[in-house]
Amino acid sequence: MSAMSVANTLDVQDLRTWFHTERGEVKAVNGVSFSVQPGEVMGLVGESGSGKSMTGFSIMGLIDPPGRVVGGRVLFKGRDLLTSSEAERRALRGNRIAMIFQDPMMTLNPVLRIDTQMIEAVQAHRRVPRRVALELCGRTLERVGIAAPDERLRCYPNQLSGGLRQRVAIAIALLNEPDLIIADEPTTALDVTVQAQILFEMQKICAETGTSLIWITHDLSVVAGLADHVGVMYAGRLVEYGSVHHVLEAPRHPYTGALIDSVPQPHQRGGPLRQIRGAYSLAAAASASCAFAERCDHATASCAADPDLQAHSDRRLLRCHHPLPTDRR
Amino acid sequence: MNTELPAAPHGAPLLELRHVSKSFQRPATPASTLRWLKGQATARRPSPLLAVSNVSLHVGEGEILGLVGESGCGKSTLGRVVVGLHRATRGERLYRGERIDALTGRDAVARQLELQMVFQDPYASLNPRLRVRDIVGEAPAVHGLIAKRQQAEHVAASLERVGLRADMAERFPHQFSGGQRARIGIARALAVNPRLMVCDEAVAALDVSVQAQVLNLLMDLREQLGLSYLFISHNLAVVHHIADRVAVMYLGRVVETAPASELFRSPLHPYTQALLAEAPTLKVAKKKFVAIRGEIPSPLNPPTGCHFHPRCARATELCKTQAPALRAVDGTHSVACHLPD
Amino acid sequence: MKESTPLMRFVFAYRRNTVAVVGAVLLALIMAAALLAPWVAQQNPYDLGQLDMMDARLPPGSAASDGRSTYWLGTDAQGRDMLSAILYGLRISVFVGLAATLIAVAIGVLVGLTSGYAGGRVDALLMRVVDTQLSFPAILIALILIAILGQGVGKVITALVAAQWAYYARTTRGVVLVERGREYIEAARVLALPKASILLRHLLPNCLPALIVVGALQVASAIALEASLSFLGVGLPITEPSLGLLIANGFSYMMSGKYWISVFPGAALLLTILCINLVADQLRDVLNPRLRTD
Repeated sequence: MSAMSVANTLDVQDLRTWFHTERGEVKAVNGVSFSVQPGEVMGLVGESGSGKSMTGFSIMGLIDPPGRVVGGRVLFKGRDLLTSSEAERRALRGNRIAMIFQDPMMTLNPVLRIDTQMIEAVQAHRRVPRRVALELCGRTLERVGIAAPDERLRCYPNQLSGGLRQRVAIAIALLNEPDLIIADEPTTALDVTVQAQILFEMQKICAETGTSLIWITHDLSVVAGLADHVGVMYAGRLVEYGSVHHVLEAPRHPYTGALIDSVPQPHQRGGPLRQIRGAYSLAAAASASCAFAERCDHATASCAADPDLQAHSDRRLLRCHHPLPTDRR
Repeated sequence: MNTELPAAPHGAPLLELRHVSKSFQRPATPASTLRWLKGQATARRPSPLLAVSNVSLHVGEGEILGLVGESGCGKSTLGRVVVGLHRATRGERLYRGERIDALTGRDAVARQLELQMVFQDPYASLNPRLRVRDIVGEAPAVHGLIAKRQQAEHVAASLERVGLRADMAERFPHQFSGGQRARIGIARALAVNPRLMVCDEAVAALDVSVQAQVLNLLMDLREQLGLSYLFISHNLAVVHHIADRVAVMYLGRVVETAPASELFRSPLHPYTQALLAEAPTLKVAKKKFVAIRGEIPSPLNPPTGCHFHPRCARATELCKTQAPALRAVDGTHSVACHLPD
Repeated sequence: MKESTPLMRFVFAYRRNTVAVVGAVLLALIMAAALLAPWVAQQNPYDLGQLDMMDARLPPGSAASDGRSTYWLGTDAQGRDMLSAILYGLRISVFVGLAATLIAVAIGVLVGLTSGYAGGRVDALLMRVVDTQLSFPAILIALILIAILGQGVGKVITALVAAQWAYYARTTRGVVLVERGREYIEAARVLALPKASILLRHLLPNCLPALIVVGALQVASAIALEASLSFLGVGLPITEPSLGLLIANGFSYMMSGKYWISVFPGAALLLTILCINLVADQLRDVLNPRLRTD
């Protein structure tokens, strides 16, 4: 594990979030650790059921019963969010830590005008006159690439297209110049060209302001283009973490390797795609063995014990008994 | 194989669309009624939404035609016109060289069964109240393709063909995962022996690893059964992988068609070029995303002339006034542009 | 993890809400008592031979003049045991309420399905009829129909049906409008399934949860409506007295202190309606999780 330095914007250590359901404990997040430095973009990748969204919600403190965070630490600039009071967390949310959701209507109130909502987001954390706040809103909308912001400010959310709404949601996240933004699949439902525009804006903003960004997605290609580091999750556990270059060029975890091979590549046109044997199951996730073992081509008897997350070299984490060889390609 | 239908005239594609347009009537609104009363408009309703405009394309036997585009391009509407869910406002739909829109009764049904669809949402495309055996087995039984007593066998065979177990026939859709439901949807379509399947974003809602399984399944079925597909998707990597030929749509019009490898290697239309440049790939070089100027216009209010001109770096006066026709550049590659590369 | 059966889910959901469980148990008891009235009640209150005028207007808890039984809830002006009269009355009330609701559901669903799926002019026409129907108070419709048709069980049921079918038509149409555009209905159309099949086999079952909830609540409403009619003297005939008639009969005695002749039937009616509402309310929540993925 990387040295816990105050310079890190965010340090997540062995985060666990469990849900109590009528069929037992569902361990939605079961051992996730990573760190994010100022200005850095981290991609958190996984498929359905991997717990990536829950990780984001846990960091923000948005887990409601029957779920609760049962273990670990979430250090935001050295301060543990999990042990802070709700009032302290509320002071940070929308202010120093912001979240962007997949559906912009989770951020936007359909019955309020855009300017009303944005000004509210500003004035919740700072005492500024309305006129100043309005100006800031206009400027922030321009930063996310919205032309004619004054007109848009007077609109209601339903008058805007999906892409514009998402950009407004991103603008709201940026209003108070947060140190950390957590984006949960914000471009999954958007067109390629709109996604490209949003990714372009995010890259620019992180480079200019030193904001850290955690981009949660199932789309490896987006992570490849956007992120500096990537974490791969499976069944609630972080199974691999490292720089984008290392993880995508030379994955060490069998799941990461299989995932990369499943994505259609230009050179394999027409041929069969690599399939991962079996299917994700809650039972495997809840068991004491490695969650991926039953689908893994390299599993042996030792995989009956769930491996720990181990550090390999600088900022490289791996949870596997039988990593792939480094010269895979 | 259905032996009732006439064989296609030699050389005719399996399915052809000729100059097909589809517009949707919009209901009258207070604003539009007011305009009509004031004499500013000729009708009480607002002008119809032209979702598909003068599209001609064809799919050959055993061929996979990919259809790509973004929101508002009309690809889903076009898919539904092909399969008969929407009736084209103008133009013709030919199946095996025969105009099928005017058919009725058993003739129409026979052809309808050969044109099937695989839907996008694995959760909404299966009736939650029916067991799988009814979902898959209802249509073949109703249309007399199989005898009632053979239904269980036929369902079992259909399920096994898509990689599911026969004993799953007794369960309900909510007991399956997204990938399994996608397969059930494919089994349902296969159960009536189609020749052409329209896959409307059939893998878009699936996880990457499950997507790979379903794509492999679709390709295997094409090999085994000689099926043709109209594969609609916004995911360029997937289309490039599976399609033989690709058509690109923008705001209701086809702007380019070409064999898949050629389209991705040397796109000629500015929109296709932008689309390919902006699609993220796994190549790790920290990509500099180049934003394409402007937003996709609303289909309710499309630009004049070439729909793409407001966002095109090379637009000229001609582009603003005259819509370019789809012209062949060489044998198999066509572009709708006044100034293709 | 083993698959939970619908019964297990049902029980688990109910266990979380005690009020609903109490309501359900009470309702079951009431229904059982009403059903088994001829065997449970200590006398048949409509068999004149079993009545004894000497026992008229006795307060609750009094012994019978022949010393063999106790009138737990007192007697009315003709010497009828109130408890027995209530049990028999419940029987009629519940039967009429249920029958009327079931018939109204059948008619309303057919209209709603046709209207929602056909759309266009058919839909507009049918919905104008429904709207007109709904703009009249239920009791007014019932009174008008009884005035035209006369009294009797069948006619009362007809009146109740006429007053209620429109709710189901509207509810069904609403669900059909939503479900009609869903992909599984599009799939049924692509498979060239006959329209009747799509309506009855695909759309109708998906309307059921909403209908069950509305129907359950409306049973209570039908019972209350019938009681109102009977109280006013235009409902069921004296030969088949329901709770409404019992309340009406005893009303004149309220001022002379013989409250039990009116109050107990009233309490029974209130309790029945309350329990039905509690159960129906919970049904809404219990039925909804079916839409979740297990």
